[in-house]
Amino acid sequence: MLPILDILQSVPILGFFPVAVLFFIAIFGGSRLGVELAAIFLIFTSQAWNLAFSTYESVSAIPNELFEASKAFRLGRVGRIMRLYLPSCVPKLVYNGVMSWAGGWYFLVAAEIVTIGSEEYKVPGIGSYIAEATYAGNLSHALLGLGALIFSVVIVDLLLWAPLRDYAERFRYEAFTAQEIRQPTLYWRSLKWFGKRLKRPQLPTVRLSGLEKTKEIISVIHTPLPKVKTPLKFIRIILIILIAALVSLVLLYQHETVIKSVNGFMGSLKDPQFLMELSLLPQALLASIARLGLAYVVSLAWTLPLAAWLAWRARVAAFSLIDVLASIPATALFPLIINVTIHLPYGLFLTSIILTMTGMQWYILFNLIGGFRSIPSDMVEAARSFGLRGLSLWRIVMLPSVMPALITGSITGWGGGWNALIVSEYINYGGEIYSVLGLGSMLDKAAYELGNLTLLLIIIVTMTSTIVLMNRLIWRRAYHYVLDRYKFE
Amino acid sequence: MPLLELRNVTKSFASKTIRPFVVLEHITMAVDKGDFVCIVGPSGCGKSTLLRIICGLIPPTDGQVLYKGAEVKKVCDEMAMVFQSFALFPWLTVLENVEIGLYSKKMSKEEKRMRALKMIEMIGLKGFEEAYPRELSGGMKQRVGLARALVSEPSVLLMDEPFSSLDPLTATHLREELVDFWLNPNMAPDTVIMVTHSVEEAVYLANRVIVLSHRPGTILKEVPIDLPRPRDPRSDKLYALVDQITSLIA
Repeated sequence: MLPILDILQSVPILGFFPVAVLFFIAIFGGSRLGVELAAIFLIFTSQAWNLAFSTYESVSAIPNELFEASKAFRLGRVGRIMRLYLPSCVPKLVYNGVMSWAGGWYFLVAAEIVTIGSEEYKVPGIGSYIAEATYAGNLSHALLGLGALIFSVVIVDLLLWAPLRDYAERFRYEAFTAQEIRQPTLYWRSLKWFGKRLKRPQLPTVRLSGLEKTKEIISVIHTPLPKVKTPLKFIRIILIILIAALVSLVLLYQHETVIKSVNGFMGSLKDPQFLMELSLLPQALLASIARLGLAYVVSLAWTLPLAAWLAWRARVAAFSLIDVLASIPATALFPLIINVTIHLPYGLFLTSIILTMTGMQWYILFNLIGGFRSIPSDMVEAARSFGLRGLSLWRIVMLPSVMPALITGSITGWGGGWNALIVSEYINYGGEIYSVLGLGSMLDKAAYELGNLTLLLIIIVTMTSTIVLMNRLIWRRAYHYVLDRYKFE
Repeated sequence: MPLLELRNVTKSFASKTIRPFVVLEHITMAVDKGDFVCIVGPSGCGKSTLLRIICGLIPPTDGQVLYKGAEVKKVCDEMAMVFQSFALFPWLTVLENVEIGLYSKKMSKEEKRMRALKMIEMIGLKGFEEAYPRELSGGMKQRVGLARALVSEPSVLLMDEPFSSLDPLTATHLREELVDFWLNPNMAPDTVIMVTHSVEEAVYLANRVIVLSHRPGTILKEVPIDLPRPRDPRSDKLYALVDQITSLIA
């Protein structure tokens, strides 16, 4: 089950969007409802995975002593769920809730922009509003739309997530940060009272190093899991039932479509255009990986110093600014970015790199901030007391210390990057299509120009297996290596 | 002229959210060559901060620290520090960690390696040169911490609760070894300033115990400890002093 979840989780959600659009449109006969449902389905799946995983991770990360304590005090099944499992899930559920929510915005806006090109699949919304205004050269409208979007993102954050985050803090195992002073954000300060009204939970505090937290976050993808405890079986069973139900529903009501697509698959094998596109696949794959690599290097170059500065020196205001910047769904900025960059020399190349970065950089930045924050102050003081300064301080202390966080950030960053590729290699700018060779653009082309479901699926499978392979062969190894060497006690 | 002098050292931390708080106030003291000074006080009285100010890691808000008559303005490389949490670099071997102690010294790589190896042997970790800190027990880790501080033969050794995260038996051993090192005229350290929250430990080790008050930390009293060495950690005289000092803090 877990390897399957692992693979499913690695599928770039946006890659599924064209499939979902084609699927739902087939069901609803091309009405707008189909596209709307496709969008909703997509956002739902992206969020549901995330939340299911966070629950799983939280429960498997409960320190063994807490289990023993709950047994020793005879909490019983219900007591354990109420006092142990649920409280321990809160921080991650909230954290992932924030992430899913942000991801939802990203996908939603992307979906709107992607569909703008093909008149019949159009979804009206704030994303398409901004895009259309930009294409029409109406910059003030575009900025207005962007302002409205930022406003609503910030408002939701202020009213919903900020108090929840504050509330969730109480469920954390106490982190090992002796001299760390919690940086209150503007949100946090202004809405602290809200959190105070919620009930304070009862959970013994256990010391857990900052790195342990990082470790938990990717433990599911990258380490053999700790022994699974009872409620996880439950989650598994529910997931299996859910998938089985979906499959049988499709088979029951759509068996004709299934038969048709099987026939279509056989037929398309002889289609010359299909074969030509297929022969481009290896090249496209390499091009996409190279593009991601470049975007990754550029992202690292600016996030490393910024993260260090934010973690140690920055004032609250700088934090809040970054918070807001990061919460803007980058896809909403696409039309505006394209508007500026497409006409520059190497515009297309530049644009696709920048757009890919928007999907990567925040993951890396926030992980790095966490990494820098969790460096024990003793470590830095020891280094300084022996005369390490400047570059040597970075080489011997800073970089090794943030390695685990860097790897975690890279894994999530690359995940985001693959998604971003799909919207950044194939740009529909004011009715004109700009595309560079790559998996993302092939996928879009297969969906919106050729309408070839077989090709679409082949590309998605290629993409997913590349991601899984990279995770297994590169990131997982790097993570174990780093954890082995660079772990704080 | 004393080796080390603190003149009216005051430290306060500015804070945006709450009013600035004063951690240390008007600390004036002198440490001579060959001294063994222990600083005790209730938790949160700024003991560790004081040590960091002496070393030059943190600047005082007011007042001066003088080392051999010159003001300490940046990290002073005549002093070395031992940390409560050991603060070993987990990605460096024992040998590499000890070599960090010589980082700012002008000598060849071979020289550094030779000195580090010699120090490791003296501290009783021969055979563990290539081990990583996580493979060591708490006591061995702190030995590495001590070796790292002593390898540069500093004239002042600063210790921030060095034994409080060790088990009592290991701590007892290390304490005795520390005294041996200090008494040995051929070996660093000559002068030790140690922060501890264990009054027994302070009385057992020190020539002088400086008692700090609760925040803001000020010097409540200086207690000379003139018990003969080697000391018996269970003697009545020692306990009389412990009681006297404890009553000042509590």
